[in-house]
Amino acid sequence: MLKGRSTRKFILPAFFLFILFLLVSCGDQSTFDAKGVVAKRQLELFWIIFGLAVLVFVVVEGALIYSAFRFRRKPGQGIPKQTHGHNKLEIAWTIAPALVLIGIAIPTLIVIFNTSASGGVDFSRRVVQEVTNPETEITLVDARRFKEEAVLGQLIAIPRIEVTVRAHQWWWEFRYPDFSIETANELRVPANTRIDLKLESDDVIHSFWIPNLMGKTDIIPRSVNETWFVADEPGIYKGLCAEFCGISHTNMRFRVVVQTQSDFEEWKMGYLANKTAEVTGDAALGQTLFAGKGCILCHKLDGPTSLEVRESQREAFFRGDPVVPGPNLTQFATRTTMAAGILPLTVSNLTAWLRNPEDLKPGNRMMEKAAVYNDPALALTNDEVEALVAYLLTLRPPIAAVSTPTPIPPIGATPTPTPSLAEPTPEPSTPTPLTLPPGNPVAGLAVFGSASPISCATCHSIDGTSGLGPSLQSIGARAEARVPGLSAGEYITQSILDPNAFVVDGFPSGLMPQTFRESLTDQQLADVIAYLLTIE
Amino acid sequence: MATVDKAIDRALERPKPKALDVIWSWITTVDHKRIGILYMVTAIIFFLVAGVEALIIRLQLARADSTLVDPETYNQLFTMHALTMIFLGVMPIGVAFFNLIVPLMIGARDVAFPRLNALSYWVFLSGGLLLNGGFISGLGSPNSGWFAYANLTEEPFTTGDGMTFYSLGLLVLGVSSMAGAFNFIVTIINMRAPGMGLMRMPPFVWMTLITSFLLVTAFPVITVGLIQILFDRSFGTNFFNTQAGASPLLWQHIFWLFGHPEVYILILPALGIVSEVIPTHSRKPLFGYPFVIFSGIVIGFMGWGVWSHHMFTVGLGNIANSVFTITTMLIAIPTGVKIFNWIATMWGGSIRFTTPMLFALGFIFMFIIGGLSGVTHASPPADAQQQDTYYIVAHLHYVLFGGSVIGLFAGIYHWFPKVTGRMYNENMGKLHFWLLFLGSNLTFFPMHIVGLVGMPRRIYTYPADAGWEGYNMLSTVGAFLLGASFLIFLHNMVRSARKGERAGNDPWDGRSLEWTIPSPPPEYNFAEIPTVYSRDPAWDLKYGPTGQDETYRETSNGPVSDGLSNGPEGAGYGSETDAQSLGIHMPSPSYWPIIVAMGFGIAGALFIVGPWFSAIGVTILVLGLYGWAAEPVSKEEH
Repeated sequence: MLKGRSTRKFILPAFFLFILFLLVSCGDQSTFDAKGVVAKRQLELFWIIFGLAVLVFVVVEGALIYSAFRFRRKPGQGIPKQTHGHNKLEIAWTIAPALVLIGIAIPTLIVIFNTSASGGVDFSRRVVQEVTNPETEITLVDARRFKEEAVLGQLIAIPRIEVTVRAHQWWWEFRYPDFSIETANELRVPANTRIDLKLESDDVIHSFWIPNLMGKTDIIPRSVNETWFVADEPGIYKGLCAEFCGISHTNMRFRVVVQTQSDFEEWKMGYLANKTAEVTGDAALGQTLFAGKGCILCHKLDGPTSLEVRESQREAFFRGDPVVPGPNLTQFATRTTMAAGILPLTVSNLTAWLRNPEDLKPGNRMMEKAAVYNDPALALTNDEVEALVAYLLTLRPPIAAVSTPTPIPPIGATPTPTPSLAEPTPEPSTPTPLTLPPGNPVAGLAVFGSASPISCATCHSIDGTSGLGPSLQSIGARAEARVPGLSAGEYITQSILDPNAFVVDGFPSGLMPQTFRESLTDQQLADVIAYLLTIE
Repeated sequence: MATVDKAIDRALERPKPKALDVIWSWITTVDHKRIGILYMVTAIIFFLVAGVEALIIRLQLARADSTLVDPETYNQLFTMHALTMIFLGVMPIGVAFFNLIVPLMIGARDVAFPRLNALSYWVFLSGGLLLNGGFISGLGSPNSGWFAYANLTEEPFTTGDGMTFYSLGLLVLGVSSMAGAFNFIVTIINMRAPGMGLMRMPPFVWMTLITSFLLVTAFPVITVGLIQILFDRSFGTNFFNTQAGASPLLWQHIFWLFGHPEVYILILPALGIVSEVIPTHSRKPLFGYPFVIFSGIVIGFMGWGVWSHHMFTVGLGNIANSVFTITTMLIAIPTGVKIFNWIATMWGGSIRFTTPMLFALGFIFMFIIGGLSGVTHASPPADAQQQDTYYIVAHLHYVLFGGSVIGLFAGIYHWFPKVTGRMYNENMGKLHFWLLFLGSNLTFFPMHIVGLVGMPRRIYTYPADAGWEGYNMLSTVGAFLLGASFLIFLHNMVRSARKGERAGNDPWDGRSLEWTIPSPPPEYNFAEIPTVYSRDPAWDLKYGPTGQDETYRETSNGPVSDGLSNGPEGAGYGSETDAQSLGIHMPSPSYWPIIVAMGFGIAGALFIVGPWFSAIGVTILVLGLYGWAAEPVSKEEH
């Protein structure tokens, strides 16, 4: 009996040591491997509660097992004493758990306030005040100052970056309002910087979670949740959606690429310069296809998507149109993963994805909506997929400006212009007076059906039926009256070269490519205008 | 005593009834014990279905990048596993015990409204079939989780009929629960034997009463939400349509305002059962009876003030999170009080390790772990890392499987001899326990760890480089151990119900009234309604007012001792003539409850075809109610 009991004494501690060993030795998105102040606070709190829970566990389970064995029925035993209760004991074991719970509640309340978006700020401010004015009254929250001053002092001293996270079924949009940067599925941030997040959803409820850096905050449609994190050291951290959000919830992941301040600046400059590797051969065909096959309707390649376009894409999704918000692909090839963090970005993965996205990510909107997967006439051939892959992999700065290791080898020759800060979105320009050669309506019909990057006919009908853009039936007659001071020809010219100057009611602004000035020759432009004026 | 002997003779000589008559007698029965058996058998069948769903889920997750089931099927599986376990497994097994045991414990001949009781069962059956209608009809089962968070449940995010089956099924099940709960409230308050004051009621009856109050208060809440979902999906209303300006958080508040009391609806019957099993098998009265009862009441009330702890990550703000932290932590206190009192009941007792006692001990062991892991996510910052991960899956299974289900098994073994009149096989029972105990810890313990190392819930697969494969494989092995333990359980039950040894009236040396009557009890339960003088009436009859007098039964010859042979030994289910021959009036069988219940089922099923078609079902329902109202109460009134 004695021997048995002394072995039992070792079983429980050994068991817990074993569990601890399992906990700390595991996985690269473990919450035990906290790499930022928010996750560290949350982990500390867990250990406090866990410690108390182990204490309670040992005492109560011990009492249970002890009394079960100690009072097991012995042969010939009579009726045990019929005791009915003991009031002092009852009071004691009502108060004892209450004390343990107070021990948990106090640190909990403190951490609630100093890890929340607003509370964190207030607390940081208060610490600074304390330093400058030691007479300040000490509050419950301040009492912790003595332990936390160093960390929080840093927090207030370090820079802050604001990022708007917009969750979509089933990918992530990250916007940096301060820098005019929009990227998707890969959040790049500098280390030791407080990242203030605004969380928005385009469709259903999602939840934003980076196990190593911060616990979850849900993302609720029609409201904005705020939270923040700090990453202590550069590295690539896994993030994921934690709230069930539909069929591909499993496939809604992302990466947080934490860089040194200078590496981050370099990436930022590269993005803003928006120069890409030289587009030759296959890639050039891919560039044409990207526009011609309609990819460009949902994926922007040259800087952030305007909020109006995003809104019109969102509305289009709810109407059931074949346009939806799609991940921004600017500088796509600088990313480490693809398809919302589910696969490393490699030629073979990208090829498989473009061939059949449904295979990798069931229910995805690209498969559901894109013409190339729904219209057999537009379906991508293997060569076209190869060309698109080649093109997408040129979407990176021409020099190796990014310090993060990327699996993509540079494609084509790499001339070395210095990246410079460029205006990310072109200013709306006033129509330039043009002298066009005489147009040929018959040649214009051909241009209408084949213009690059996307043919006019893709979005505009000539028979009054509605498309993504307004129908051009009898446009010649109506164009005259559109904008005072512009003749029909001038109005049409303006609408082609600067589509946002006048947008027809009920159609989204910014959807039509603004690159026809470069892609059409003057003759082609004149021809297509001549053709448009003849439509009845 | 002559009438009693005649009744036995008649019972023994009665010719074997025809199969059709037997089936008809079960369909039209209004006897609480038969309805209890119907509930129990149906619930166990649903329980097995949900168990098979769980095994498929575990098979899928055993390895990384598994393709055993496709994502859509997987989403339906985890949704139906939860719905079936909660609404068609654990809840109705609890209700089965209410039916089987409560009238016997309070010394009543039946429930207050026997036909309403039959209606509860048949509506439960049609609701259960309706909830599974997507599977039965092939139209697709619910796939948005049992929590069905808006606005994922809206068009265009969820198409198909799955979520329509969800709302219809749960609405119909709500009718059943409400009807049953009202019935038990009235029964418990009005039909107790003389002398059984509220503070002399057995703890299980108390927990039934509290659970019933929770049912009648919680189900209206979810009913509102379900009708909103149904109308959004079928009639184009905009309760949760964010495009039209709705806030999807409204649903979360409605759902968890129902959902948290629902958790206590699932656990309180088990707490009641354990409070019966431990004293009986320790041969001691329940320690601190008033504290155990008041803890139950307090839990029932506090269960309404903690719902937002399911929503710590939705961004309700620091103040809301702090308040719900404190209310949630407070609820641990009455739960702790119960556990301490159970241990104190065993202290100084004479514990027999029978199968029900093992299950009760297993219950406490698991429930402590579940309670402690619960405290770790009562703290919002800690919960921010735990919410929606396998850590929560581990916690909820320790509480609902390790707690509720193991507690219900304790009850099944404890009262099996009373209900069937035969003993189960003790060795098989113990084997069942140990396999289940081992299996459930092996299944659910690794989930704590895999959750904390980052594995979220409700994912149909995970990449190999995540490092979760080992834990998941352990869980899967454990799940199959659980599956094996159920086969042993089923074998034991089916075999013992037919061939087990005769149990006699009182195999456990019981303390409450059900042990004073024959096993199985006659239709009328008590030939003579007993008078109650204490909390342990059956014990007093055997061991005298002190409860310690081993020779009391032999030496005393007062009228009280007759209570021990209350009703004819071996009479089994008497026909009405038995009751009549004793001058006891019992309610007549009725087929109207099943017709009314069919009305509910048909209305729901046809709603899928088109909302107006359900008028057919409603017509049957209304006609059924008229027939019911017009039916004479008993044959004598013809």
